[in-house]
Amino acid sequence: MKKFMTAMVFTLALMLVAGSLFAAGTREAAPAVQVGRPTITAMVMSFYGTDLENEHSQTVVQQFEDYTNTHVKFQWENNDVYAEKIGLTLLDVTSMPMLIVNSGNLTANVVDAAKKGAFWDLAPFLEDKAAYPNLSQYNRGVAAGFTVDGKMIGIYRGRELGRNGMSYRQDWADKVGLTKAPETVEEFYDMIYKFTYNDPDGNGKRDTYGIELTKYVGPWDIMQTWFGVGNGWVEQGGKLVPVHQTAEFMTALRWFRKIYAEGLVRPDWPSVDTGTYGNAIKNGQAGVLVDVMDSGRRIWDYFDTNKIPSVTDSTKLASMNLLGPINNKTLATAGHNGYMMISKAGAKTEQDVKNVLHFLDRMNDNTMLVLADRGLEGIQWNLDAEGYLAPITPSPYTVQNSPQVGLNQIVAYIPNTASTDPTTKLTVREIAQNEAYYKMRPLAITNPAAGLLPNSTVQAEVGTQLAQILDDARTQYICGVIDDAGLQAAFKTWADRGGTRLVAEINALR
Amino acid sequence: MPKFKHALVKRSPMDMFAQVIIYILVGSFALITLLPFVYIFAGSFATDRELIERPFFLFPKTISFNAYKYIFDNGDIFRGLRNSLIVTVVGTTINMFFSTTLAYPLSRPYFKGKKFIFAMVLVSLLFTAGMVPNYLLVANILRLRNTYWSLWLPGAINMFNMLIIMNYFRSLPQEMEESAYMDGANDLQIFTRIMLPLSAPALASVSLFYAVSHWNSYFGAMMYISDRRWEVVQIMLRRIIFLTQSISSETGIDWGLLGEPPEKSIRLATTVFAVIPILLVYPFIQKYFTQGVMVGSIKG
Amino acid sequence: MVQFVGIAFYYMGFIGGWMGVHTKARLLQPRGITIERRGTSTWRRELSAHAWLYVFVVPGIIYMLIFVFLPLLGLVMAFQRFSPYSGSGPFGAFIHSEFVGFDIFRGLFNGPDFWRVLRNTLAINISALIFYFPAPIILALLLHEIQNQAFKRTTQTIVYIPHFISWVIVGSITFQMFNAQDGILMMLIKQVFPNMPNVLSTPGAFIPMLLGQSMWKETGFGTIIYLAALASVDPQLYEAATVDGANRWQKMWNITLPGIVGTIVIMLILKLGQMLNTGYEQIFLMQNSLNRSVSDVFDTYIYTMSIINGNYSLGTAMGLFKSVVGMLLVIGSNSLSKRFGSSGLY
Repeated sequence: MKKFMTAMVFTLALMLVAGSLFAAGTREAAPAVQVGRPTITAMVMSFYGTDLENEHSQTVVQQFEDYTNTHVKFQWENNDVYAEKIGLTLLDVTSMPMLIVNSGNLTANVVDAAKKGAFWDLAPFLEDKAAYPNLSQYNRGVAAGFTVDGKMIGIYRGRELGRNGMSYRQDWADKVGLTKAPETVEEFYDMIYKFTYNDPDGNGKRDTYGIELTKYVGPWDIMQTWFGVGNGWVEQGGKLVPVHQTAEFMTALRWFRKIYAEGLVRPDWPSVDTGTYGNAIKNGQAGVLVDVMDSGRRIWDYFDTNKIPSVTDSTKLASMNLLGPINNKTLATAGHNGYMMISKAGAKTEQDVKNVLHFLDRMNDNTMLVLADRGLEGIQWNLDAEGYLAPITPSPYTVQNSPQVGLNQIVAYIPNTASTDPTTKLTVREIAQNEAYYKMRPLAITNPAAGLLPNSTVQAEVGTQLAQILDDARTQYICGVIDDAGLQAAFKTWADRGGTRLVAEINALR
Repeated sequence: MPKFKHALVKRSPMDMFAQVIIYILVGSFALITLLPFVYIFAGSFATDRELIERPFFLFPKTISFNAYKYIFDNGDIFRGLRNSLIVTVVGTTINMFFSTTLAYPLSRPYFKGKKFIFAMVLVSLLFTAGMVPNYLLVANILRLRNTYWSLWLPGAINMFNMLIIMNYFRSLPQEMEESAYMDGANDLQIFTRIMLPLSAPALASVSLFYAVSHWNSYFGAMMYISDRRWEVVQIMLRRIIFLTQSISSETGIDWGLLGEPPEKSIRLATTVFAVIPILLVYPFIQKYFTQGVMVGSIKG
Repeated sequence: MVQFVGIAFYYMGFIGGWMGVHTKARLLQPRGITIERRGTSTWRRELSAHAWLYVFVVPGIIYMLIFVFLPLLGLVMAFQRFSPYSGSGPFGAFIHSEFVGFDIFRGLFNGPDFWRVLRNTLAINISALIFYFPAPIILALLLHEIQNQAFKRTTQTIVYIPHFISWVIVGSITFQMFNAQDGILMMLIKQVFPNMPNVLSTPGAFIPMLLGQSMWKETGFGTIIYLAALASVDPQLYEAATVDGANRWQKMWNITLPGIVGTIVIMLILKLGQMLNTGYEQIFLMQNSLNRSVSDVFDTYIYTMSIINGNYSLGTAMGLFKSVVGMLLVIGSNSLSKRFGSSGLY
């Protein structure tokens, strides 16, 4: 017994000591809070747990506090439980952070809180162009998606509209004899067929397939648009109908089902960890990526960094062709990457709101954009001879421990999605990516109901479930788990659960 | 338990065969149990490339300490371990204090009001108000958010464990108590000097039940703790491993300038670190667990 | 202010009931050791003689009052259209939220979700009863047969370990080993059964996978109680049987099994009392789009409804239903187990 106790105590002591020693890390002491600066509180997502706590982070904090003349108390919540945290935060009506960042669109609990007056209406404040030169330039169309009962309860975080498209491994295409980039669905089909059956990596084995996929269903939404399917909702005969009720949708779905049955896509995609998205292309199992163009560009970067050889000419490196649209169509992104709300429980006076908005506005200035996105001059980047922003390579930091990680959460990216001066000198790959963006911007299909959905009570009540029904049904149909009858049954479930009411309400709201 | 005198009895070949099969079955089960551990240990020493290429291995082709280097540089996991330790040790102490003080009077046949308190205990056993009222209580009314009290107070007494202790107290011989009374001792002295020491086995086991529960608990910490400095190891683990599975079907995560998710080998190495404390302490405490289950189940 | 008065009344009701119970109880209590002197007012004497005991229960009682009974008041939201914004502050929200009686429950039972969730929960638990429940028994029997003490102790130590590992770790390891892309086990299985559907995505495979996880994690630890029961079987019976020429299987059938059948029955009955409970974390970690039709159970549904969708009333209503039925099941199974000779839970 005694021996056990001593062993226990020893082990525990060891752990405690190790804990305290290593936990200290390389963090510096926090700078003293400047007297006289307004303080705001903000709730933001944490992806790595190291936000603003790395080496030199304090310099970053100092710089942005000086520039915006605001002290910000961040409340970091882990990203994987952020939805829960939002729900729990909304439950505590008397004490909330002033600024709340969230991703995606408005959810039911947020809308409910908004209707009961939990958030400030920002539109009147942002009329003041002098006080908020950046934010006042917000796109009214995108902002409509964050308007509840006529009040704009959140400011969106801007994002490039034409980001979604398809990219593929150029060297594979060369290997299987495709001489030009696909433009139609038939040519696209031809490509993925050849990628699956014509041994593009030349090793004599049937171990490749066409499209890389994970449980993230975005790619299917993108591919749908190539068939003329709209983005969520579409205007038909003067009314708004959800896309699954259109004929083009069934065409698209049948085509999806066919390519799945033929083995042209990853067979177990609905259960694959989204974190591994792109891995199949990186290690030579798949050849096509349908996603945002910068994902394709990142895979290309991987080939470059890891010197993956091309399958046609081993002296060269593999490369991606960041093509973009098929049939001259693609899915628009929402134009936003989340939104930020200002709570009445947190920002109790109008002055508080103005402080928050002032801070948000300043964060869109070029100096701050560079700081939030690129880091510190001299440590992470330098200005090169031509005045371009050149990252210092090899980078002294991984993303997880860069000093400014997490800071871009509270950047609204209005009006610019990146600093206009200085800018980085783009690699060949990045230039290709931006060209794709530019090409797709006019071709991207938007959702005409985006502004109406947040105001719909049916959407608030059952919106998430309805969407889930459709997603699940589509997944099951594609994988052959259900057939046409099953799909129709799912549509009927959708209608019964509230879908019919939703359509009626959306059209009434126009 | 006395051994069977099998050696004295001639065993038929069938019997020997059966014996061998039994050994194989049990041994296989033990191996299967070990398999996942081997996987995470081996994988944590591999490079990411190898993890993508090779599904499973006992020894990585190229040993890389990158993952561990990152962990030591980063220090997060240690903070998580330290916090879990604090939560566990203090929490268990609080648990035991509340549980034993409640259990003792209930175990005395002459204690008045036993029935009433038992009724309360019964209600606690059978009913739970659910997530929302509990959250409202702890976060809004008591304002315990972001403190460890939100982890220590709500589950302070697990009624099953309390009943185990109570039953053990009941089973202790009455003579000791009677002679102590004769000597003029009061209840407090009897409790601290006689009952507690005598109940050491049961108390040790129950403390370990509580301790493991604290160590592995995730939910309470998830709901109430936001400050990274107070993060416990399970939360940290979940954050790192399930980091990238939070994509909803409506919006993709815009990795953009966030970069890539942590490497697979780092995730595996973090898992290793989360598992090591249990493995280290386990051999010492195994005895108390088996004891505890028996004490709890076979009564009277 | 109003709210505190309300709560005061709530507790006064309890105290009144207590006084009533106490009076009767006092008359029924057996006399304690110290009560030698008769005829004097026993209650006061009792209090002073055993003052410490009354002090002891105070922390426990306060704990129960605050953390068990007070939240139970919150169950009223199952009968309201609850919104935290209805009033100011937490109590205010309860007072001002619209009271709708059983409407929420009506909606709950009429909706399709409830029956699906019930069906899933029962499917999982009944499958567990059939397949997972015997596992520790079988392992215990096998272990019991092992002569080599070193081997036995080693394997026992090994198989107990997974019990102490959290579900977060188990879930992550499961994923990494079973995903069709690079999961070692999946690949091995495919060698033997080429048509095996993908474990992580097929609804039909969800329950087996869940059971597999539980078996890996809990079988070892679950053997403890059966081994204890086995240890209490009189060894002389075995010796007598050996002398009579019984072989291993006959011994098992005639001596061992009857010896532990009591324990088995009791464990079985207690498991019945848990029919509506499932491991929340385990299921939540393994849910995805394809298996949602079978993986949505009470606990996950309540969680999603309450916290993520913000439909607090519905979630609480379902939770209340689950508690009530669960309570009836536990009480019922406890009485049953007492009939089989156990002292039950309480």
